[in-house]
Amino acid sequence: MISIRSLEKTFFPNTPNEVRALCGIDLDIPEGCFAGIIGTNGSGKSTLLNAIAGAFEPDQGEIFIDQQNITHWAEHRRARLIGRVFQNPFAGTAADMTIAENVVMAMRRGCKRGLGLALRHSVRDEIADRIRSLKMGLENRLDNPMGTLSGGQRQALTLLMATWLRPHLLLLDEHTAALDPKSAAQVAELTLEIVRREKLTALMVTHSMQQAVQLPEHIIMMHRGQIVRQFGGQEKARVRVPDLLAAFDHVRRREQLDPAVAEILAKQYV
Amino acid sequence: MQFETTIKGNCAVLKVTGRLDAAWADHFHGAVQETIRDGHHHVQIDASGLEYLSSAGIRSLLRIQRELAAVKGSFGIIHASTFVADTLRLSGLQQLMLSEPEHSEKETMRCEAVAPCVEVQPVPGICFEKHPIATKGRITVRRNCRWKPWQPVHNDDAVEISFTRNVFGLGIGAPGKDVDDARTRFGEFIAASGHLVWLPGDGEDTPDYLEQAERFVPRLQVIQSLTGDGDFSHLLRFSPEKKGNFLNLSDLFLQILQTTQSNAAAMIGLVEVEGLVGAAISRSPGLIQATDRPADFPEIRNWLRFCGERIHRQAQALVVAFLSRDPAHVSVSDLSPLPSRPGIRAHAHAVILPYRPLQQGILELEPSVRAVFEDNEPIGLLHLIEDDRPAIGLGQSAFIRGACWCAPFQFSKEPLQ
Repeated sequence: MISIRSLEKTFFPNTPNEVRALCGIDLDIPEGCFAGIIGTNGSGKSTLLNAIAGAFEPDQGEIFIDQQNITHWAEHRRARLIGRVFQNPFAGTAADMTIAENVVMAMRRGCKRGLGLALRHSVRDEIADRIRSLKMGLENRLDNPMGTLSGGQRQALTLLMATWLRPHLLLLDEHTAALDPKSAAQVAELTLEIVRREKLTALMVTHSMQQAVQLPEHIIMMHRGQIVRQFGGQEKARVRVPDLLAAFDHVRRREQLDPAVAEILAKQYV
Repeated sequence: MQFETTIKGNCAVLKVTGRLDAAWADHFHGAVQETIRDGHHHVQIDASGLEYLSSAGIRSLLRIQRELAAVKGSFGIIHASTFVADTLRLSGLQQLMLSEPEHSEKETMRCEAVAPCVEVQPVPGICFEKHPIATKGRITVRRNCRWKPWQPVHNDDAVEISFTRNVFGLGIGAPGKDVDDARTRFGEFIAASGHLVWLPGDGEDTPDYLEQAERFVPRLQVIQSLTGDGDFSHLLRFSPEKKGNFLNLSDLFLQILQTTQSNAAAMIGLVEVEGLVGAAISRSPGLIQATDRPADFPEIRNWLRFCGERIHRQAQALVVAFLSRDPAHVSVSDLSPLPSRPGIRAHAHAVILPYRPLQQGILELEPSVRAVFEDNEPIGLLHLIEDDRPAIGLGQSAFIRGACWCAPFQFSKEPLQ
């Protein structure tokens, strides 16, 4: 499980470019829960994911994964607990290395590596078995360079690699956004299958309302660095895309209730 | 698809050119509905330019026929090409086709039947019809204001009110056995003719509703309300002289007071909306703690939501309002002065529904309200306010046309029987 307490981050403080990216985030994602984060541009979704992954240190607040306080851990140290898939399908793999070599790297994430032969026959068989589950025919192309695969195939492999060692937390940062619609649907389906099968705790940022409704079991809505609404349990079960759009509209209208409107309401709203 | 509308007497004739198939059926329905919105309830389709008619097109024709039949209008097809005529005949819908002489005869008859009784035109661009219903019609209004806004809600702040068909009203309430049962769901409500609609105060936009049926009577735990019962004295109908004209809420209120020749009047209106401005509870007042300050900024954002723009254009609204220019009512906290007409104090709620045309002429309240709710779900509920902020204000709610039942009212302290 992941717990976040009073997390704050301001970029370029005390300058004209100051951005309050995270404003007191409190969040609890229980063990085995698949949560999705939605929000407008600049709402802090990716910043929150980056803060959890350790891309920067927060100004205030604490982050716990399975009761371990990781707030001040370096990014590479957190990689033992966290699997991550980026938006760019080329970001999570090495293009010049073969599929098998890429997977071997993922199999040893967070472990000490010696000078022994990394790619033994038994390992190749295990890799082929796991890759066969993707149903993309890639198990027969283990020696092909990763760079020869399509974006959808690379993202599917990245997802498999990120979950190979069953991470304590899986971070998905708009991981289908850069794919064509058919590949995006395939990777989305694969994501749900892996997360459910491995009972992973996962946090997915998405811009797709449809995806937010279909994939995760809990939806977190962010706006201006704050969590403004969460849909979980029974409420999540009945939520549809128009409900999410209406919730965004509430947020917008909430901001339109300024002091002048408040004065009008005080006079006229009995 | 192209449309050309000509008005012959009281009938609108739409000459349609093109194919009426699945791709164009919605567009066609929208175009005919626009004609109906303009007040034409007798519509004929000149199908001489119609090249093709599919089942989707036929469904659209039948839908329009049903909508117009519901308001005692008429619908038919003239000058159908052989293909269109054969399609309709083979589908068993030959009754939709009108012959030219029949058309002319019906037209004359209808024009006589619905001749409007325009009396005065006190608001530029708007036609009014004032129909007396019951010369001695009066409404008795009862207030329930045990709850003091915005204080915590106590157990004895609520009363249960039964909204039988003869009781209408507005206020804040929620269904439940008692205050504690309703505590998390208090929101605005509106009641008229056995229909009770309320907005559960849980932040959702969609109102819930109860309808009186046989022995079932809608009931509500109410912490603040104005309810009326009695007979309406007048029906006030209004419509625009030409497209684009509309009637502001405060002008409507003034007309109601003039029509009823009183200083305090109650009304139930069925109106086509030009734009609504209002607010609604977003968090139940039942959850207010002693330390909360819901009326203060920015805390008010947690308790009330503001429409932010003029909303629900072209939808239909059922409006219940109580208005007064009686100096004796200045201390009535339920009635707030209108910024645009400070002499009038009012309280108005509106429930918004998808558009349905209203029958022309004199209407009965109860069947009209029932028809509006039939197969129709409420889509919003607002406490109407005026946004008089300089330059950026949204102004006041306005209506394109409508029917308002109204009567003078007097307050009573006697409990509702």
